[in-house]
Amino acid sequence: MDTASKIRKAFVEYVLEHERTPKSIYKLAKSIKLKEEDFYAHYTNISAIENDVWRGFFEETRQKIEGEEVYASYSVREKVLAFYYTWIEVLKANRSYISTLYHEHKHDLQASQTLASFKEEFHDFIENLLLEGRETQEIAERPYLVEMYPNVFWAQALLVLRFWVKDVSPNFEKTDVYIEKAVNFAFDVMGSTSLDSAFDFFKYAFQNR
Amino acid sequence: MKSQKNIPTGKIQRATRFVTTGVKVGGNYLKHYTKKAFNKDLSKDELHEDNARDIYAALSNLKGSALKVAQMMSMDKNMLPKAYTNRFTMSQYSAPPLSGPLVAKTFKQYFGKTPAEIYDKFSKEAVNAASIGQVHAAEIDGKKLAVKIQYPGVADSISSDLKMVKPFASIILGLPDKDIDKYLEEVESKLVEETDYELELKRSVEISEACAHIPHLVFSRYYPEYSSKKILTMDWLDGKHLKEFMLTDPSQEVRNQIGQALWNFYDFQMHTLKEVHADPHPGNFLMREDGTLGIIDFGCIKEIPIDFYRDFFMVINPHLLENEQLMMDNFYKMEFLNKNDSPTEIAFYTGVFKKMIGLLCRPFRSEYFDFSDDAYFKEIFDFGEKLATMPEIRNSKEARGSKHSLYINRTYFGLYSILNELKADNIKTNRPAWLNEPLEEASNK
Repeated sequence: MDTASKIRKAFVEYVLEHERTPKSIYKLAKSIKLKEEDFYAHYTNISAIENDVWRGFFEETRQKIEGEEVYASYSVREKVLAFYYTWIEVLKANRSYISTLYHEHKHDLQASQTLASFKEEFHDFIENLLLEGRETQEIAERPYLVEMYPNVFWAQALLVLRFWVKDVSPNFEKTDVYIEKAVNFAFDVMGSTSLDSAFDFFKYAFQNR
Repeated sequence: MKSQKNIPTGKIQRATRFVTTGVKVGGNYLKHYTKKAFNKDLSKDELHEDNARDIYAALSNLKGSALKVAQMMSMDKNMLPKAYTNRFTMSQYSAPPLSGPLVAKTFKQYFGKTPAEIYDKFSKEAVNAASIGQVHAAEIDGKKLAVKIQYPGVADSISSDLKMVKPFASIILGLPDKDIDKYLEEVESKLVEETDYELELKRSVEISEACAHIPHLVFSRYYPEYSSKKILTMDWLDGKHLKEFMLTDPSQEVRNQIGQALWNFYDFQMHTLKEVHADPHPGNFLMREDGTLGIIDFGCIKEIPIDFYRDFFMVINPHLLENEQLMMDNFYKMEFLNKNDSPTEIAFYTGVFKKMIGLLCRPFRSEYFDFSDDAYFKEIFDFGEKLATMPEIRNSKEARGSKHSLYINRTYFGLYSILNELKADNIKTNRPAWLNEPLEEASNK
């Protein structure tokens, strides 16, 4: 295990044991017998570690889904669904850690900036999927609007996360239903709907008055 | 099959859907009476057709238990105008499927493996949809399997779904809410059981072993190692559903053989096992050219309480109607009559129930019965219609009949109508001996 992952592991353990994030680098460094100056070679503050843990969850999820044979044959809608289901599975293994953080950040992880690197990677990931979706016509071409979609999915991911943190149903079954419905709703709206043909028609009628 | 588009989510959304339906149904009545003002002969059929279409559209969007109730209503053909029945029968075949990733996730949750790791082949799309789950085709070592996967969250939504169906049930059946409750409780407990696939597995194995001796019946083998609370793996059964089977123009002999197997299956369950596959809608039976019948889906099993069993089947005994005292006792026990009925009500309902029993038990009055006789079914249907229009019944604020009889009646309605559609014209209506013997003797048993 490299030093950076050792630090992340120690950080998560610290949070689990103390039910809060460490206040200083010093304490954390000491717990894994690392000199403070060596520590800074990897992370310069606590928030950076937290960020990296979230990014780690995302990476793990992506590797898992892309490692599955069936994934390549999925439609874009199914790929997004697969992402969420696997993501929640990964998070499940770290539920105590996440719910501690969630409360510490007063239920607003977004504002605390601890999701920043995860967000960046998620954006790239979704953007690629959206491009694929536009090719397969699952996503309707709508100038300007299409550019906003990654943000929509990011908001959706946060909603899913929030729903799951609060979910107390056995096996988080309710989160599964939530994901299914949220993703279907998004794709139904982003796919070609009657509004697109209406717009197309009125535009044509207007231009050829 | 097209994948799931949108299911209305929360209770509010579901409720809105029902409200929309209510508005539409209201509109249909308005339309009907406006037309009627100009044309006195206009039949109510058109109105029923309009209503049925709108209610069906709403229910089928809700999936889950609402769909189940629609199915049940379609079973009780006699309780509903024909237009509702036709429309609701469709609900027995189609419901929107789950996404591939959720299916994969469910497998990982229960087995720690994906479908691809468990089975040699696994169909990406569902091949068939049931009201609380969907069926995928799979294969292991060249053996064809059917894998049933349950929709997540179905168990949770049952009670809230039923609450919303209630106003519709009370309008369609014309009963006050409190009486509907008695029956809905029974329905709810059965629906909850249906969501437990482990229980279904256990019962499937028990009943199919107990019925193995009945000729011309075929049951699936079940695989506990690939089954869990939400997943059920069984042998794939070939065969056609009733409507498609009839299109292949099977011979009278084959149809009678299948019909007889079906009759014997139910006779054995009712009288020997005292627990019965209470979901006899055509989707659960697969018919084959060689005259054999495949039986699937043991989700809905009604256990018949022994006290109820005697009272219920005593009605079939032709000697009952001759013995005034025994008959009245029985009517009270079956809750056909209530203690606080007035003498006029007693006289009225006794007459109605005698007539009904005479009609519905006719197949038991002879050794063989011709179920292809449409005139008989027309008679039942007309009787039902006549009852529905009698002011005494229409204005009655009291539900009659024991809650146990709900599923047993439904089972017989289903059995009769399948035999009718199958045009089975010579069915030996087997029954235990005590149903023919004089009653003094029978009641000592």
